[in-house]
Formats: sequence, C-alpha cells, structure tokens
Amino acid sequence: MNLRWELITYLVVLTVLNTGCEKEEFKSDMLVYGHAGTSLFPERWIYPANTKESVLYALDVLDADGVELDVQMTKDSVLVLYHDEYLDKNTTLSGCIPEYNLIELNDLNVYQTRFELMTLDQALSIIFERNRNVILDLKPYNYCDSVNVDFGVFNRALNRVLLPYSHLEKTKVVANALNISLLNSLTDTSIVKSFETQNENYAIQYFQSGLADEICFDASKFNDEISNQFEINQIPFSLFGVKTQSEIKRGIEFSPKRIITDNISYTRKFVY
Amino acid sequence: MMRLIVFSIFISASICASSQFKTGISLQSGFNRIGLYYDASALFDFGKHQGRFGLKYYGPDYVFEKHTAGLSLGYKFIFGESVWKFGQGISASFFHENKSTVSLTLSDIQLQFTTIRTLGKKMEVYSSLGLGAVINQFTNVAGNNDGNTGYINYEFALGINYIFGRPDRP
Repeated sequence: MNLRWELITYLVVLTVLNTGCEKEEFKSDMLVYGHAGTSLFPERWIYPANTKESVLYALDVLDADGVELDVQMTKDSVLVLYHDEYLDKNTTLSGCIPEYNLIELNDLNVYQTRFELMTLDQALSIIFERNRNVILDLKPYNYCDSVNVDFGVFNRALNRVLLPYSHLEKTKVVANALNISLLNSLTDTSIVKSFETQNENYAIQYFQSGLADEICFDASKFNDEISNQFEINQIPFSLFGVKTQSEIKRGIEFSPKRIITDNISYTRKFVY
Repeated sequence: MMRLIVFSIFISASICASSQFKTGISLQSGFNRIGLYYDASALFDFGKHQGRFGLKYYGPDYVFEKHTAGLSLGYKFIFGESVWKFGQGISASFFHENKSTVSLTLSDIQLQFTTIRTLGKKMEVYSSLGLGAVINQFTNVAGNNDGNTGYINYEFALGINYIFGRPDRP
C-alpha cells in the first residue's frame, strides 16, 4: 500500500470534516417561516405547497418557527389554502376557488398530486398544537370575475376560524394582504395586520396612519435605502421571495422581523 | 470522535490490504433531495462483490441546518470484465441532527445503478443513479410531539475508487 496516498486521502477527508460542525449563528430575533408550508416552488417541494403534509414537514422536520399560507375563500365562505389564481393549470378543475363550494373542492388533487386541499381551520389546528406562528397571505381577488370577494364576508369567515383560539394564540397570526381595504375590514384586534407592497412610501404612510402593524416586502426589491427608512420610522417588516442561498444571506442582512423562505434549513443556519 | 472513526477506517483499510480480498477507498459526491453530499468510505472488493462503509457529509441546505456527517454503508454486485463495468446494489446512510426544538434522525436507503470505468489496475471512476426513500424520525424537544415521515429520494453521484494491493502492471 502506498503510504503517501493514504495520508493524502486522510488529510482530504479531515479537511472536509473540518469545514466545521458548528452552527453559524448570526441573528437571534428573527422568525423563519416556510413559504406556502415548506416551499412554493416545485423544485424545492417535498410535498406540494399549502398542503397538510407540507406544513407538517416544515414544522416537525425542518423546525420552522412558522409557515406562510395562501388563503382564498370558497363560494360558501370557507377559507381554504391555495396559491394560484386559477385551478386549471394545477388541478383537474377549471375556474377559480371563489366559484366553488367546499364540498366540490373536497376531492381536488392539488398540483395534480394525491394531496388534498386543506382548509385554514385544519391548518391553524396543526400550527397552534405546536405553538408555532403563521402568516396568512389573504387573496380576496376573484380572477375569473375580475372582482374582489366581499370583504365583510371574508372577515366573518376569518373570525369564525379564529373563534376557538385565545388572544395569545391569535397574536401569532399575521394577516397579510396587498389590499389595504381588506386589512381595514378585519375586526379581530388580536391578529397582526401586515400590508404587502413594493412601494416604501405607501408602506410608511399606512404604517403611520395605523392601517398596518407591519409591512411585507419583496426581498429582491428591498435595499439599504428602504431599510434605513423603515428603521427611522421604526416599521417592523417581513421579507419574502428568498429562495437561493445568496438571496437568503442577503435577506437576513436586513434583519427583518420575519423572513419567508423557500429553504427553511439553510435560513435557520443563520438564525437561532 | 469523528476523526477517530475516519482514522479507524484507514487503519482497517491498511490491515486488510495484505489479506486475500482487496481493500480500497472510495470518494463520492452526489446530489439528491437532501442536498449536496460528500462520501468517504473504506472499500472491500471481493471480485464481483463490493462493500463499503464510511462517512457521508451534508452541508446546511434542504434538510440540515448544520454541517452534518453520518454513517454510510453500501453493497454492489459488479457485472462485466472489460474496462466498462456495471454495478447494481443498495446503499444506506444514517444521520442525526439536533435543531433548535426538533431532534431529527434521517435514514436514506437507495437502490443504486452504477457505471464504472476502470483506469489502470488500481483506479476506477464511476457515475451512479440512485432511487429510494428518506425516512425522518423526529422528536420535539418539549416532548409533546414525535413521529416519522418519509418520501421518495433520487440522486446522481460521481465517484472514484482506489483499490489497494492490485498491482499497477500485470
């Protein structure tokens, strides 16, 4: 046996192992949320987005602090989890969620898989059992009719789902929306209201007027200037749209209060 | 502890080099649904049968949030006598990671299909396709939630084998 080869190989292996078994810890006060459960994107899926299995995997296996979920309302005013505007591309049905009653969606195999549509009621039960957090991305727009669903009905549907839970549990719920009128329609004062925008001026205006408790911003549009403005105005904010390792590192540098990620474990590398 | 295991692998490789079957080392890198990995194993060559055990390493990515090394085992049956050979076998690897509130044990078991190119008497390079399952066993540190979950795993890997004891020339 060639001793030189043995030593070289041994050194190579040790070098690989010595890249470190320590966790790189940088931020301690940030909450890590899985995007649509574990991830919105098929190439990062273990389970399809917004399904029960995806939420369980994010919380039980990947140890996320919470999950971000996409909420739409059915024709019979039940809040269900589904991201896309239309059903056509990813299910056996066509049209939009607000055109169907829940019972008609019961056998819906989301994303052409065996996994079923989950109601918000089921999701909150899983999340609060584990004492975790949730961001509800409220999607009230019916793309098939080009009109918003009734905000009052949406609010009552949300209140009905939140009814069994305590004030403390409800403080773990962030209701996020692109539509400030919808946020303004929400009557539960325990939940956190988050306004999603790409415009920092709207963000500051709505935060200062008390219409929003927090701001949700696309990480790719976020920069030092916006970060400084938010810091000056003491605006808590979340960042979404972090998927690659470089996007995650960049997003964390801004120290958001919450980060919505498509790679929970890699994000948690920096957060303890 | 980890260094001791690695050192033991190479000591055993050295001892076995003088016995009737051949030993060697195998370095492999691949990508699957857990992430990118590196594997360093001791190789036991019985002609058509090839076994290995060693360490497999994942950096922080889709599953692990820390640098994580685990036990790696494999068996392969080799077809063919020419410079191109094919292998079919099974591999298994086991990992443990303590996350902030979750203790995770991951088992990855795969069927492997390998194409091997011999380079001289001592060296082989190979590519491998794997198909199998990941089984995650988790426990919440608060103790109020534990269970397991599994999913299909698939991977592509490249590797190199160096066999001790085979003569360089016939």
